[in-house]
Parts: sequence; structure tokens; C-alpha cells
Amino acid sequence: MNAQFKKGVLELIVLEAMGKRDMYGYELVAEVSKVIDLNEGTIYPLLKRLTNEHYFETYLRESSEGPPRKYYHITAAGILHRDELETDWNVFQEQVNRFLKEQKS
Amino acid sequence: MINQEQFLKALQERISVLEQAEQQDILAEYAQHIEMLMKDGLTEEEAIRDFGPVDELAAEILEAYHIDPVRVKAAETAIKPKKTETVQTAAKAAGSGLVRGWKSFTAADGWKKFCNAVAQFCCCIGRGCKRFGSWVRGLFHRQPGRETVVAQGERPPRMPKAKRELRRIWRGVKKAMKMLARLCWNGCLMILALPVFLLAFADVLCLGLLLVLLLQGYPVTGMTMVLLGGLLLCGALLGLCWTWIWRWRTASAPVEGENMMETAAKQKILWTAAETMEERGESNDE
Repeated sequence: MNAQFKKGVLELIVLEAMGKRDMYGYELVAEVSKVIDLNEGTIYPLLKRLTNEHYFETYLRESSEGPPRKYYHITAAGILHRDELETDWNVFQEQVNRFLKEQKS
Repeated sequence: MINQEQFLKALQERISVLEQAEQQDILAEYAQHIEMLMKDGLTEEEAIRDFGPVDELAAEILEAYHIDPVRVKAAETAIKPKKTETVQTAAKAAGSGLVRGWKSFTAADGWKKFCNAVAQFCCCIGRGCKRFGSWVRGLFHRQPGRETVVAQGERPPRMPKAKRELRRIWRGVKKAMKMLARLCWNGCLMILALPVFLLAFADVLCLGLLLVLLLQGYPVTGMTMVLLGGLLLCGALLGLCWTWIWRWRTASAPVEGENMMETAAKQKILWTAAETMEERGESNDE
């Protein structure tokens, strides 16, 4: 798939995936990888940015195996941002689809 | 052949402009990711290869911090112009003016040329002075533009020790002078405000007394009005003094203001988010 497409929609996917429950980095990467196939390393910078922009909060939780894991939790601002992105996405893809249909007919 | 340690070290080198804590944060995430992949059955090398080229990855991370990796490199390699050079060129400019002036004079090509040369000489001297002035100013002031290339968490380039000392002393002297001036000014204001305050106090006492008398039927309405006016005057004067107090403008003050605004904005976002969540919940219930 087009790399730019993936990049554009990645933020929305990450925000949506985090909506159900708190996850740690690797878990989230695995979740996102189900939807989009991409270089897993690129998700961490995005997580970092979203945390810096206060859309995510982080906390440490002990794990039965290995060192404590850093969990990410979506904030209220993050939820708001996610909803905004979702609406944007819906409008955008509708417009694009309509245009594609028009061109074909 | 690259192992985890090498990979993390290479990554750290490329993101060294970030703050130490941020670097550690990021590296810990990647280390954990690699370990998890290895637990899932991949070899160390495969796990690292998953991340792709280190340079691209580092560029991606820096991009998330809104840092342009190209500019960081440029800032690191930028050559600072030497101050001594400017002085030398200034002296040279003045010197060449002198030589030219003398040459044209000895050539005896007439007064016109001589005047021209004098004018040129003056110009050169002026330019030299200007350059020297800017060099002296450069001792005390940070050059604009240098900070702009400094990325987040990066230290500005170190200056010569003597210059730094000079600057520190100069800053200290400036601060002390300012403090002294502030002390004098605020003290004078205090001395001026004290009698006004006492007057206001006495005014209030008299006013109370007169009001009692007024209620008992004495003809002191005019006097009461005068005292009321006096009280207002004292209040106004004290207010004026208050606005004239020289307050210390600390660097943290505006930042605090911003923070307050930020938190206020965040609070608002939280509220609206909570509302939308409630709405969502309601719609889900239905």
C-alpha cells in the first residue's frame, strides 16, 4: 500500500486502538500491525509525539515477566482529538469515494 | 551483523540532540520491543532488521519532536566567525585608508584627489569604529540567530572562558544596579504613601465621629462631605502609588501565565471531552 496513505491514517488508528484499554508499546504496535503493515519502529515516535501533546498519559506497571512496562492511557484531550480525526476521516473518504465514482460513471 | 547494544548506541548517537530523559525513554521502548520480538521467536538480528535503517528511524523520531535532522547537522558543523578577524579587518581597513590618502597626497594630483582621499580615509575610520563597536557589543550580547539553530535540549556552543567571565561580571553589576535603583524607588514611594495612608486613617475616624453627630442632628453635612471626598482622594493616591511600584520582572512570570492559560485551555478541553463522552455513553445506552 502507498506509504503516504499509511502515514496519514496512522495517528487515527493508534488513537482508536488505545480507546478500548490501556496498552504498552509492544501491544499497541502489534494491534496496529493487524490493520496496517508498516515498519514497527515508526509507531514509537508517534506515541512519543502524542504523549508530548497530552493526548496520551503514561504510567509504569509491573509485569510478571521482565521489567515494568510503560502503559499508555488516552486522555480526555486525546478522545476529543480522536473523534475529530474520525469525523475528518469519514468526510474525507466519502468525498474521495464519491469523486472516484463520478469519474467512472 | 548488529546486536541490540550496537543498534541502541547507534540510535542514541543520532538522537543525541534530545534531552537525556527523552533519549532514555525512547531507547527503553525500542529495547523492550526487541526483547518482545525475540520472545516471540525472532532472532536478535531479525528483530533489529524490522526497524529498517537506523538513519531513517532516527529521522522519524526527530521529526516527531519537530526537529529537522538536516538543520541539526548544520548547526553542529557550523563554523563560528572569529571575533579577532573582524578586529583585524577593521584595523586593515583603517590602515589602507591611511596609506591611500598618503599616496595620493604625495602624488600631488591636486586638491580634489586629496579631499577624496581624506573622505575615503574618514569613511574607513568610521567603518572600522563601527566594526570595533559591534565587536565590543558582541562581548556582552548574545548574537541573534545563534539560538535559533539550537535544537531542543541542546546546549548552546561554549564561548571562551574569559568572555564568559566578563559577561557574568557585567550581568552581576547590571543586576545589582537595577536592584539598588528599585530599592530607592520603592522606598521613596513608601515614604510618600505613608502620610497618605495615615491621613486616610484619620479621615475614617473623623468621618465616623461626624456621622454620629450628623445622626444626632448637628449641622455637619458639609464637613462630612469634605471628609468623604478626602477619603476618596487618599484612596486614589494610594492606588496610584501601587501602580508605580517597581516590580521584579522574573523570567518565570510570563511562563507561569502561559501555563495558567494552558491549564485553563486543557481544563476546557477536559470539560468538553467529558461532555462528549457522556453523550456517547448515553447514545450507547440507547
